[in-house]
Amino acid sequence: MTRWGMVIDLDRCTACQACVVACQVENNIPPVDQADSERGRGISWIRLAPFREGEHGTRPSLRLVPIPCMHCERPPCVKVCPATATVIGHEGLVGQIYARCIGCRYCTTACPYTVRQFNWKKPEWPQPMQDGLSPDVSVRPRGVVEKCSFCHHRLQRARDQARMEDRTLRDGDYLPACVESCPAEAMFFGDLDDPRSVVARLAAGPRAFRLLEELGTKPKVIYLSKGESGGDV
Amino acid sequence: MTSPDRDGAPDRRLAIAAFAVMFCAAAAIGFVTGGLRSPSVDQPIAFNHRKHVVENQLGCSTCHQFYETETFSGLPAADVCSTCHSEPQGKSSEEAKLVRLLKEGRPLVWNSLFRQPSHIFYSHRRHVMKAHIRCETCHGSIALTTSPPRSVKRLKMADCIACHEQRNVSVDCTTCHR
Amino acid sequence: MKIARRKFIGLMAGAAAGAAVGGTGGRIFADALATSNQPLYPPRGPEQFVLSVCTACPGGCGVRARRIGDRIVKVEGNPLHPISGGRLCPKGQAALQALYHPDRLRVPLRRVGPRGSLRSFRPATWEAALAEIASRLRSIRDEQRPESVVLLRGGDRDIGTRAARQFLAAFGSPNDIAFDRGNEAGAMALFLTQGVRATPAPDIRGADYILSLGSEFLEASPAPVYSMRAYGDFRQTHTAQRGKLIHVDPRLSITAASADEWIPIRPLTHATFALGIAAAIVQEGLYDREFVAERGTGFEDGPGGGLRAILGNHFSLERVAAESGVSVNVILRVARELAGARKGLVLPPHKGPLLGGRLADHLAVHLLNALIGNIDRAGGVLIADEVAIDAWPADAPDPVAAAGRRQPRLDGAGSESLLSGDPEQLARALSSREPYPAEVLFILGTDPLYATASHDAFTAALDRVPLVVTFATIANDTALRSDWILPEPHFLETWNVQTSPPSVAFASVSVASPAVSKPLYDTRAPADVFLDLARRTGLQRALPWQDVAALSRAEIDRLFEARRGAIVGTPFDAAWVRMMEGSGWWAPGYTSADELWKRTGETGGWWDPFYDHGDWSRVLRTPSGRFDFRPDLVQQIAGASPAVTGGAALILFEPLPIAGGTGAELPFLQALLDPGLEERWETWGEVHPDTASALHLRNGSWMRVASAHEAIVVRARVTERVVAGAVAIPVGLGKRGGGRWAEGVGENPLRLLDGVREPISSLPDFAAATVLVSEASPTGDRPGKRS
Repeated sequence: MTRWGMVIDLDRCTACQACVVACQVENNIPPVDQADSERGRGISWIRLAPFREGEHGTRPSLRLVPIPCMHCERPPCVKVCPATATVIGHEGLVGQIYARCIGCRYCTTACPYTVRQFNWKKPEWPQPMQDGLSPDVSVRPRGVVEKCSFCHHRLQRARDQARMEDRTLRDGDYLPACVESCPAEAMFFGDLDDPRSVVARLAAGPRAFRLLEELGTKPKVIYLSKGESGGDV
Repeated sequence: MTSPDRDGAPDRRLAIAAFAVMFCAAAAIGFVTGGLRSPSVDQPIAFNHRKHVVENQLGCSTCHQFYETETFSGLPAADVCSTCHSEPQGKSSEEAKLVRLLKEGRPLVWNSLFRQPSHIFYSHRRHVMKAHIRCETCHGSIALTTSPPRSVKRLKMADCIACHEQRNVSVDCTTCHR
Repeated sequence: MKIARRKFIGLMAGAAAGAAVGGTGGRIFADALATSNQPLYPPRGPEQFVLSVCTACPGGCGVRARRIGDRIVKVEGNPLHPISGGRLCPKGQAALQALYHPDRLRVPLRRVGPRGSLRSFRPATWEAALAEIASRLRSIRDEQRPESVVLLRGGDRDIGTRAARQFLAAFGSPNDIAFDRGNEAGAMALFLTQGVRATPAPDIRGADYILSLGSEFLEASPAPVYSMRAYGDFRQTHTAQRGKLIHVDPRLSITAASADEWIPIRPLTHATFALGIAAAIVQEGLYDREFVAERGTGFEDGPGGGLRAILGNHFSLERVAAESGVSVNVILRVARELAGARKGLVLPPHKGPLLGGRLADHLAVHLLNALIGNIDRAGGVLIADEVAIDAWPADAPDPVAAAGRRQPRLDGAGSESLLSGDPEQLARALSSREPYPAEVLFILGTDPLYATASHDAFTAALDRVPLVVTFATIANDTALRSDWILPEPHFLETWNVQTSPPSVAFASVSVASPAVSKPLYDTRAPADVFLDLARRTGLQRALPWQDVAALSRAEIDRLFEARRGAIVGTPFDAAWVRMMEGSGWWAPGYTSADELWKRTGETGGWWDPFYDHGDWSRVLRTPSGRFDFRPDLVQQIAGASPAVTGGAALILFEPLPIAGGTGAELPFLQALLDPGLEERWETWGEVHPDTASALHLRNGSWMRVASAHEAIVVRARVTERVVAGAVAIPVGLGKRGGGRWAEGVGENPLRLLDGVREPISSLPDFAAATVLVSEASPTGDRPGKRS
């Protein structure tokens, strides 16, 4: 069985935020101006979260962690959705079905990683910006919740291509836009159930951890902590 | 135990609840039917599918050039029409209109009869070339019409699901929704 | 079950109302999903990928544009490209917002009203623009004053700038003036010690211990994607040990956040700290004796008794500790770690494309690198072996041009000066019209009015030049004060041949072809403009090409003649080329210029991955042929320890999304200014809690920052990310131009400076400014209002 997952190596990550913009461009996220940005209307499916340590000591430190949707194995959002608008598929992708979403925002509250965002605003692109929209991703109307999809439209296309070539998917055929862009090559993506895949090997390594593991959500985004890898990866 | 002076209150509550239930149900029905009512179609010319497909035995891909190689099917651009119609082939007034439009060099803007919602991924090439689904399975008898029909076969998600289930293909939401 | 009548009525009423809402409201909602989204339902079409080169910064990343029909829907890295390696930074990712920006210039604009506002401009044709400019140029040639034409340019790695420089040379002006502040200090340090005019290329990937003395190489390096890729490999690879990164700076920057340790130091003490480390290494005998003895000069002898004596006399651990605020123990530990590392590397305080740093700091760092044997070795400081692709024949200039080129440069920079360009001195010369007046000023690839350290002088200077011509895609601050604004195409719309950026150790040439079938607007590539002007001024012998496409081809023909390197390819291909060239073979994979042209078009470019370490005749070109430890200059640095007096030290930095003064135009980038403070769409000033409480500043309140010259109002951010006694402010916002998303957003702290220069280098000293910080008055002081 395939189980899609992502590995983010915090020792390589430079917090440059290329993933954030790559995601916004790929997923037809509309630009917002200063006023709307200040009202929190800007949407990003992946963000850099600051963890400040020791601000009151003599030597503060700052950790910046990229946070996409964790595509949990036991996703709290799916449990609370009254409209079956968010679902987990057979390959572990937690999908958001916009046509079903009623905008109740139970899921945004339930998500412990706060990666779900509500569309307060009608999406608008000043001319001619809509020429840059991707035909692979639908534009979300006002009033629905959206979130990182692991760029599953890329899986749809990759699978379609593989089928046309009468073959199965290969490791690397399907990468989300953030992973593809990452300059420090800190992000990896693939099938966690395939023991030969890069993500499976990294996820089994000594530096691997998950965010808020104690909640039992079983995230499929795995982080690698800073420091020695303690062996070949 | 309810006190006598509050008699009737549960009834009222029930009525409100019933109102809400029916409201939602009717709204949902209205949502589905109202949203998918067929549009009145205004085309550059009244295209005669029957003439092309039945009488002249042209394959669909003569004009819809992409469904075998791309995810989408494509509507013919002016240069596709002008392969045959740079000069009139017959006496039809609609053809005369087409020839005139082509001579003026204006782009042909066809309106889609079959609209695929933007939130659905659908690969024509895979369904046609790999699953060997026939065009009429989804597009009905469009090939037999002599002018743009008032209504065409409408597909609902249930149709997709039924076919997928029958053929044991994934019915995960994210297989198609995007 | 019995249904009471009341309940039944309730049911029916609900259904009726529901049907009403569902039928209309539901349809509206469904329409929102399908029908009314129709214009926003991006049209489908055949998919294509086109190769190009990103010019959002000088980094020169090879990119791959995804095209659907004739629309570009995504820009990604070109996986074969040696600089991007298929990756991109946020600026590159946002390139689509720049291509489809609603405020792009669509036609040439002629100023008909007062300077400073886009409303003062009227649309014009290209013919009108070029005819007017060419007529002015012709009369200047007739008057035999070709030196009065000036080119002020940004980088020099793109085809447009090369065409402009060639035009200027053929026309006969010496005034080819670079505004390349990010690379000046590093290049000077290299020239003063090694006699080579180039930008040093630190081998980050090859190092295993990096001591970053305030180098923001993970934010605003000259080639950000290349640096970040190298950093990733430095940290975690299959083969090597994990590299360790120490960041020493007054501010906990994004680079510092990635480091294993941040060592805060007092402002203005980078050079002292570096020389203190050097002194400790020398004292403990940990330096590279072999390199110093065999390749060095000025270590044991020279002014002040040589470097060793000066370090011993002036940079005792106690003094360095007292000045920098770092304890003796920490200095000693870092010195031992650095010297003990197999491949330790020290990086100088380069803060970004506009803030290249001070010469004293760069020189001290370079000397420290030399002491630990880092010159031209793997994991050390390298120098790229550039390839000349200027396509023009080395034609003898005509007599008018020859005489013009013998005139002094207006900015006083050039052959004798250490500076490659001096925009502030240029401004003075333009205003005073001495040594001679300028008649035409071309401004290409830079926004000097935004980036200058002498804003008022520059503003006045522009007013004194009869014809100012600015190239831009969106009207920037300088364009608004010009006479003509010539609209440039976006990089996805035009041809380009781009050479490798500063700080990269190999030569590369990238080829870009237009990614759309025709430009969106009536724009012209700068190269096309200068080729046209050459035809109109009788200089077509020097620039005979029809257009930028023909010029691109001619440059690749020239590249073929270099007879080295290879088509870009996979890491395996690169290893093969390296092995072949290392044993004296050249196996290029192409046999003719035609083939090279075709293959670079298919793959994105050419490069030479082979580096010949220790070719001393190439990298040590001082008169002595040795590495000069410059005891004379170290003595000056020792004697002139700058200090912050009478206020707070002003620390400037450049966040990656707006580094180089570009990026504020794009809303995606405005939202990402600092992930640590979650800052967006405004200029802020970071102050330490101790400083804040002394000044009664609250986090989030408005704060007035005043120099002797100017004051700005910014948001106060009280944070321990900056040392006490300083205020740290980002550069990149506060624009007069830049379109709807940049104009009037935030403040430009460069305005606080007024031409303070570093003595040895004559560079504007961005680090030496002292400012007064106070609470902004609740009514009067607001961003955008100056007092």
